[in-house]
Formats: sequence, C-alpha cells, structure tokens
Amino acid sequence: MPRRKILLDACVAINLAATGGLEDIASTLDMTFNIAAQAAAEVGYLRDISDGELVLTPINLAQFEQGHAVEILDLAPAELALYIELAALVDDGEAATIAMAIKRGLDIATDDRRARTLCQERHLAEPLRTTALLHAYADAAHLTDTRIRELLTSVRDRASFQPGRSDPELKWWNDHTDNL
Amino acid sequence: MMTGGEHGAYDAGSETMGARLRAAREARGLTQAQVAAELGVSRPLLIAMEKGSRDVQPDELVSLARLYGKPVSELLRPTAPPVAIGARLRAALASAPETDNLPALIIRLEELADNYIDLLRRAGAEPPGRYPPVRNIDHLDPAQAAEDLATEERNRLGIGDGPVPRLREVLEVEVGLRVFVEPLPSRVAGLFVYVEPLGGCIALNANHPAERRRWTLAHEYAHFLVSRGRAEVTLVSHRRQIPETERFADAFAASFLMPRSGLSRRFNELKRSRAGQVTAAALVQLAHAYQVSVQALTLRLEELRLVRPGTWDRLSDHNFQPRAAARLLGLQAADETSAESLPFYYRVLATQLYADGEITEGQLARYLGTDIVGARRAYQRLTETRDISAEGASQIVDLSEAVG
Repeated sequence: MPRRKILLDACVAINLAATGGLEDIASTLDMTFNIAAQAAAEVGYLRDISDGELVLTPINLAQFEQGHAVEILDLAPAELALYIELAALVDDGEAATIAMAIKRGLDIATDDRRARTLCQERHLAEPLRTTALLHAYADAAHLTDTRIRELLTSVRDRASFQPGRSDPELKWWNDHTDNL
Repeated sequence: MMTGGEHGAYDAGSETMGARLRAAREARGLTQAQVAAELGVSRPLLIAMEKGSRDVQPDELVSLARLYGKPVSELLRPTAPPVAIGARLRAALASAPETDNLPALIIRLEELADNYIDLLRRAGAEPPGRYPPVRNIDHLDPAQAAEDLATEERNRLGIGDGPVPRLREVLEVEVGLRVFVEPLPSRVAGLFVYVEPLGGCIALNANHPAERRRWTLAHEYAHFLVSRGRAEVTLVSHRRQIPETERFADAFAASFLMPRSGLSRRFNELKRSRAGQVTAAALVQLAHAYQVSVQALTLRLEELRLVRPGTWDRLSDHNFQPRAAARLLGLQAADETSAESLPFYYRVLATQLYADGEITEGQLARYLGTDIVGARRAYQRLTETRDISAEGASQIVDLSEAVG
C-alpha cells in the first residue's frame, strides 16, 4: 500500500521539523508529506539555544526526500492559473499548496486561519492541523507523557508555535505542556 | 481590475501590473531586451506587458517573478508601486555626490513603502497623522525661525516644553511621519522623502546611536515642515560650510528636542540643587533626561548662555567619555522602541490583520521582513502589549489615544 499523501503548508512543515522527528512521524502515520516548492522556500529557520545564545537553525526539507517522508512538488502548467488567482489573496506558498490540493484532490494540513478560510471557500475538506498530526502520532507510537511533553515543547520553543483557541486539540496540548 | 481566473490571463489593472513589472525589472537592473530573451518573447511584447496593453499569461508571470526575485503575490498587488521614492531620492543624491551605494537602499525603501500601502489597503485604513501646512522660512534668520517653529509645533502637538520620551511614536502617530530604521551607509545619518499616499517618510541609520537617530529624526522633521516636496539626504558632516537649510534643520532639532524654556528651568533647578555648581555628571544626567548626546546638550546650553562658551571643547580636551560616564551613573539606554526597523502603525496593521485572519503567517512574515518563526515571535511580542488582543479578537486600535 502506498503511503497516504498529505499536503503540508509551510507552517505545519516548520512545526513537524521542530519536533526533530519528522521522518518518524511520517512513517508511523504511514504518510508522505507533500510540500509545494513555493511553501518549502518559505520555511526559514528554527530558533535554538546554544551556549545561552539564540541561534537560527535552517530547515532543510529536501533532506527528508530520500526517506520518502517528504516530497517537494512543483506546480503543473495546468495549475498555474489557479495558483496566480490564489496568490492575489494569500502568499505564494499557501496559494501553491491550495491550488495543488484543489487540482490533485489531496488532503491539506494547515493551521493558518486565513488559509483554512480559503480552503473552506474553495470547498476543500477541512484541513488537518499540526496538533491533530502530533496527537495521532503520539497515540500510534504509544509515546509516554514525558516524551509527548518533549515533542510539544520542541514545537513551542523551536518554532514559537501555539495552537489557536479554536484548535480542538488545544486541551491536549495544554495538558501536556503545562501540567507536566 | 483583476480579471484573471482559473483559465485566464492576468491584466491586473493592467497598467498597474505593467508598472509593477517594470519597477521590478528596473530594481533587478535588467533591460527589456534581457528579460524578453529570458522569457522567450519579443521586446515589443514585453514592452506591451509593461504598458498594460498586453495581458500577462500565468506561466509568464511565474517566470517573471522568478527572474525578478519577487513573490508572485507582490506583482499582483492592485496598487501602483511607489517608484516616486527612487526618483526623488536620486535627485537629492545628485547634490550629494559623496554618497554612493544607495541604490539598494532606495529599492528597500520602495519595498517598505509598497508594503505599508498594501497594509493600509488591506485594512481599509488611512495613514495616521495631522499634517500642518508647509511653512515658508525664506528670508528669515534660520536660528530664530527654527526656535519659533519648534515652539509652535510643540504647542500644536500639546507636548509642553519637557523632554519627549517617545518621540518616534509622537511623530509617527500624531504628526503622521513614517519612520523606518535601516542600516544606511555610515556617512548617511538619515533621509526624508515625501510620497503619496503615504506622506512624509524618514529613514534613520540603524547603525547610529539612539541619541544620534533621535537628533536626525528631529532634523528630518524640520525638512518635512518647510520643504516637504524636496527629498533630503542628511550626511554626517564636519564641513564648516553647512547649507542654510541644514543649519535650519539642526537648529530646529536642538529647539524641538531641548526647548529653551523647559531646558532653562531644568538646568537652573539642577544648578540650585548643587549649590550653583554644574558638574559633568549633571550634564550627563540632563542629556539622559532629554535623550540627546552630551555634546548636543552642552552646545545647546552654550547657545542659551546657560554655560560658558567653549564648555564642550574643554570637556573634549579633557578626554571626557559621556558613554562611560552614563554607565558609571547607572543610566539605562534610551527607549528601545526607537530602534525598531518598521513604523509603529505599520507593525500594528500587520499584526492586527493577522490576528483578524485577514493575512497568512507567510504574509505577516513578509511584511515584518522576517521568516515565519520570526513572525510568530514578533506577533507574540506585539500581542503582549496592550494594543492587540492575544486572543486574536478584532480590536481596532485608536492610535491617537494610544500615545495620548
């Protein structure tokens, strides 16, 4: 069985990269994370502390391609017109991701409020969120509470991510980041 | 208007898109012939695209964006690019031949202004501020005209005659200047340019100390008040022959930052409290209170005849080190917000649009000139202030009250 393909936007890709276990997440969930080249170009850096100093750690998604955890995709010619239509509304990365999701019928993962609204307007299935992926991974991998906490605090600290108030997994997130 | 669709070509406006394509090409330093060759079209066809008389196909737009190093989304903005900034600054630079290496800065300022205009468009907002009419100071004594105008402006803004701790915010929000802090060539202290629809834009040298930036800000403010149609580039100059307009702007900066009445009162109070003796430490404390350099303060005191002429020269001769003295006295650095690269209202607009779900994280990052994690950190910092709700609820900030 081929792995399930999920289109990640830059924001979710950053969060998964921040866990330090992106490949394990992909294999445990039996997924390949597809990322539009425009989105991959926007991922930038994680923030780490080294010797008490803040350092920028570049995110290199291409390194995950060999293990089939990640596949970076280019827009097809037939997708360009839709991409440009969407780029008038959102940034290039989100526009490319949503155009691919529409044209290729792929599921999408994004936490971005504007992007999620646009997906809804374009009648896409409700996008996955970072927390849903992490929760599914934690369950599937039978992670201990301590390990879950490490995972989530990595995302919180290295990617400065905090789930939104409307995130259904917010309680799970808070329980594991605040109470342990 | 944007008429593109899933299957169509794009004629965003079409002159607007043409103007954007042209501006992007020129910013990249490419000729029409070079771009036409890269794109595989004839030069007349590219000219037609830049004039807006020929629609741009999606694949062409993607190729052009790649060639120009611009996001597609930026080329699609429905407002004309603020190219007047470059034209005006280049004219100002023609009279300041010792400044070179500024083309990159001009491009950067055009980008920032373009971002600001785009934020205003997205928010449906007007830039803040109340512009006074341009003042004519022809045939007036520069020093006296500067003193009078500084007093008048302080009265207009209702800021009394004391120090102005948050000068940048007052000038951005109350006056309506757009203040950017960018690394400039070391000889350039700052620059001023007026461009519609933003109004007066000022860039200050990020590499200069806070006190120097503050002085430059007040100096550029003077140019805005009396000659806003003319762009100005202010050089760090030790020349004896200073043009009258620059002497006026410096005199205005001194009077605005250290008003005669308030400074005299504070100085005399200080003198009384020290049994008539004014020490170097007292000058350091007073300079700190006004957030100006000890040199600027001492020269102003000399001008007002509150200390003997030549006091600063004597201090310099004795190798007086104002920064070391300030550290010794435990005086903290000046207002940190004055070092922020982007204008206060610009940051508020970007953050609020993101909080309201009107723009994406990627767009927020681009507006703030950082990457996505950097934008998240900036958002968290900004929402820790009283201006924006951390919960992301819509909350229009009344900026005139925010600094009131």
